[in-house]
Amino acid sequence: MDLGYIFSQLLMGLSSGMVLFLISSGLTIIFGLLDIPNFAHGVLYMFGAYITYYFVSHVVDGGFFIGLIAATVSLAFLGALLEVLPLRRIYQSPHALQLLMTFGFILILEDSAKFLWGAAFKSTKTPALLAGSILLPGARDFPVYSVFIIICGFTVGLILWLVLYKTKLGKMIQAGRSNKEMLSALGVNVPRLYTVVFMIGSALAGLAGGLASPLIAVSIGMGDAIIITAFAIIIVGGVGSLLGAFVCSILVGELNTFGTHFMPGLAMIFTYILVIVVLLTRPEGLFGKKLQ
Amino acid sequence: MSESKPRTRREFIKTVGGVAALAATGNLAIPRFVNAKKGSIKLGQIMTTSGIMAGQGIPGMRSAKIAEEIINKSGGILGNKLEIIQEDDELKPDVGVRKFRKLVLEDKVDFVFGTNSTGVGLALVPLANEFGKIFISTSMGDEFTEKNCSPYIFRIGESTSMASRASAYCMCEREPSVKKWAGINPDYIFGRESWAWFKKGMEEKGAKIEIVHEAFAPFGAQDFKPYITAVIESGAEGVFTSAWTGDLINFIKQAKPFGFFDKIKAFVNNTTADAVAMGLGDEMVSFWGEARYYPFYNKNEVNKEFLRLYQEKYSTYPEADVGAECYATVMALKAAIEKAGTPDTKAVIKALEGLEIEVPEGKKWIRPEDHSGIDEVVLLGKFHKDPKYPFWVYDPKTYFTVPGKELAVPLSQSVCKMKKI
Amino acid sequence: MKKFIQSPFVAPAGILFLLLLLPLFAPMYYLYLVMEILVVALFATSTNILLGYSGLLSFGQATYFGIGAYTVALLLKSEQVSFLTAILSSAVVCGIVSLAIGFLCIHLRSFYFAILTLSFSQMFYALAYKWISLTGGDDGIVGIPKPPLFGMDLVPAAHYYYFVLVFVSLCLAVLYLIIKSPFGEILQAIRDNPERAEFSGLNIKNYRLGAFLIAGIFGGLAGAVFAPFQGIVTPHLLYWSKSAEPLLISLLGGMHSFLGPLAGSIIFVLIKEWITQYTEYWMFWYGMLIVFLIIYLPNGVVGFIPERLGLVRRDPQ
Repeated sequence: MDLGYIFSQLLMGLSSGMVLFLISSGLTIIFGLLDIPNFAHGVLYMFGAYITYYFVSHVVDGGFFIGLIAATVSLAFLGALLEVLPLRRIYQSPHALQLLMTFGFILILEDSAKFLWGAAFKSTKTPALLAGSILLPGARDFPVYSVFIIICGFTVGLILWLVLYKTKLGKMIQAGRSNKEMLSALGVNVPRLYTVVFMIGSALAGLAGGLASPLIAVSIGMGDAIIITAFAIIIVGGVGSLLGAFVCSILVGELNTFGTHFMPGLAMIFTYILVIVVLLTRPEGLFGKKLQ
Repeated sequence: MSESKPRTRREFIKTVGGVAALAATGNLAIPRFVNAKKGSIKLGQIMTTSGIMAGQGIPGMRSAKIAEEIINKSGGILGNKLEIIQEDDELKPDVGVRKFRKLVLEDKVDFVFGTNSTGVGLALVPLANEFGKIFISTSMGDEFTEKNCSPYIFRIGESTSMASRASAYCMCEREPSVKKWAGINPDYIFGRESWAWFKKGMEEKGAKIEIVHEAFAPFGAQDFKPYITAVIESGAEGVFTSAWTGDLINFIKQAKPFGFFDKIKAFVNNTTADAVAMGLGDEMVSFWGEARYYPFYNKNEVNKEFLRLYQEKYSTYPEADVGAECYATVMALKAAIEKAGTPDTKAVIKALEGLEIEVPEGKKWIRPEDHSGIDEVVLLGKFHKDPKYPFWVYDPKTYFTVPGKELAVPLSQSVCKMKKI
Repeated sequence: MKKFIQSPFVAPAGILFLLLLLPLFAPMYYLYLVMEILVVALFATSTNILLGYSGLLSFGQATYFGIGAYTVALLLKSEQVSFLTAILSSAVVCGIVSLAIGFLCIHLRSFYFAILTLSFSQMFYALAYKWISLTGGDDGIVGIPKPPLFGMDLVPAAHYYYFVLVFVSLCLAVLYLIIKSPFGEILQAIRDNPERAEFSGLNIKNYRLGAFLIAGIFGGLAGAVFAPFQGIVTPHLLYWSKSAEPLLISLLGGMHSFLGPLAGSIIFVLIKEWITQYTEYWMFWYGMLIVFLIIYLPNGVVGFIPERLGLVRRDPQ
């Protein structure tokens, strides 16, 4: 195993980490502010994939990019719908009920997807622009599309960072995490803020789904597999921490990539071991605030 | 806190309320037709029609319905109307068990067939034995005719071992220059057995090959790229995989940008290749595929009619090969019942043993000793693009066939010791 | 006479009596249905010891159901062990495992507790899936016999039915006694106000661990009885979505009442049977039901009906 190969594997891990980052960033922002563990985040990702698939198969030129935008925007609206109608009423309820309600969302949305698109696997074609490969230093082929994902991931990460730390909205979000009453006393429309944050998180999930769709078969169950990984990432990274989501997504991406080479039998349980270790030793995660 | 009177009353009322709810829902929730219609023969079918594997179950249901239509149009079975009652197993063994019980005890079916998943099918074996009902498996597990064989259990078509060995034989003959092989298979029993049988098949033909890489990916894995690059690194010339539908689609999509299909000389898959071709559409690549039923091989009348009716009713070609297996099962049962002159289980078992029928995939024979359904031939082909069809099909020049009888586990090696009933 | 009717035991005793007579007049299919409801009810009630009575959301109870089922399956297939021994063994194994896992998890609260229990649960799922030589892998263990118990042949459906009925009733009775005991009272006090409980000198971690142990043992017993009933055990029994079921059922029936999970089980099993006859989109309606219940009936069905009848005031949350 020479350096060229190792380098290509590192990049691959980075690319799969970026998809995970897009999903987990939305999840951690929602959980951080609203204190709601959104189990349905995986099906939002799935919907994003289906919507992108629809545009790719019906619009010939640039269908993929239109599909990405459509996925992001429509998921923002879907998120708003979910937040305003049912979710908002249970902010005072115990975590158990909130978790179970989002579980209910999963059932509703999965069957809706089945109704809209049927149960067979769908495949989204990679846009021609991004379909080739480049030659890495070390003489290994690497898909252009994976490079695209890395660029998207970093870009989104940068935008999110800017929003969170350089805009008023971001300051409100950060303030709201520790003291909602203060925010409201200062005249901020807290319910509207919650809705906006939920919309942002859902939009990110939709974007992630759209970006993932040329890579994997689009199916109704694709959200179920990824949601557990996403939760693991935000826990290990620290709930509410964008940096935590970023770093841990890359960590998990690299672990999965290198793990298949060195410890193939354990592929199923890497993430769980990581979560257990973190929860037992440092439950607030690598970058999170200490738990009360 | 001590128990006070109002609290006791509240507890009581809660339980009464609970009982009332129970009674109410009990009445609402069990509207059943339990009357066995006189003069009808009932089949129960259990497949997966929800969740990620619905793409396998739905064609199975559709094909059975077509068989039902054909049979009833021509007078039914021994003058009785044929009724097929279909249930979803949600890919869960315990749900399959519950549906089996419902079909047998409530709907009073005479026979049960189905499942696209061996795991669920195996859960039904003890029940078939317990209730003394014939169960015909449409899934590929060897177990049905090996360690779990019984007088009531049949498997209608190809098994894992047959498909895998056929793949090996095909590679020996058609890609003899490929010596370095790699295996990427899903990490569950089907995947492991497929790979083991492929290697065995190579051995049987005396091929001098070298296994340079083998890996098992989690079933339903979303990211195959590390496996893909590992195979390329290993210098493999040929790759065998038993990954199927979603997994195989993922693998192919992710492998293409690495130039995988230029670097690998031979790529062979032992199951449901047709569903993959239909799923990938334009994105398909050329590889050797195998399926229990391939729509365009057989030119017999039965196949023509099956395809015509399927196209008429559902505007598509059968989406998965298990569909044809279900169709064949219904036809086999019809033939057996007619041969026995009665739908009585024991008589039908005797009639099924040694039965030969003509179905869309060709001639099918049920071996009496272990109840294996054996096809005339097992077919492989190499995919190519044909403008006549909306998806890639086998290049007819590449058809490779092995007689089913050659592939079935030889009786001398079979572990099945069937008790007589 | 009034006191007799008001006793909380009349209704359950009445139901029990009806169920004892069931095999005499009901078709076999209903026996299987009731057996399934009973097993699910025991599993859900054991989970509710944690959810409703201790305020702990465990997403890993399927582990114990699965371990209980596999233990019995393996022991019975060996044909060396009596049924009673097999059942008791599953209780012991589940007890040990739940103590070990509980000990590690009990320090965390709510969501983190849920994810940790889920993670351990997935490890056991992976074990069942991959240790093929022991568990049969994804094929599972097929053909679990029903051995005799105290000389009684359990193979006929009606006989196994009586066994399940009596066994589950006994387990529920024991759980009821536990809840009504001082231990149970303290658990609920801890649930309602952990800080105050701690100030009064109680070691709340020990009580929670005790609840975890009880839930694990009785969840395992539910699995133990389930294995011969199904005839097969597969790794799927340990998957995390199987842990969601008893939670949803307890929620449905009412997690603050003892018989809530039982009512939830009845509704859950019967509605699933019923809905799937009319639509293939049953998950959609089931999801709607969950959302509706959480918003409008957080006390579940059992809490709702008496409230509607104006007989009791609404529980303050």
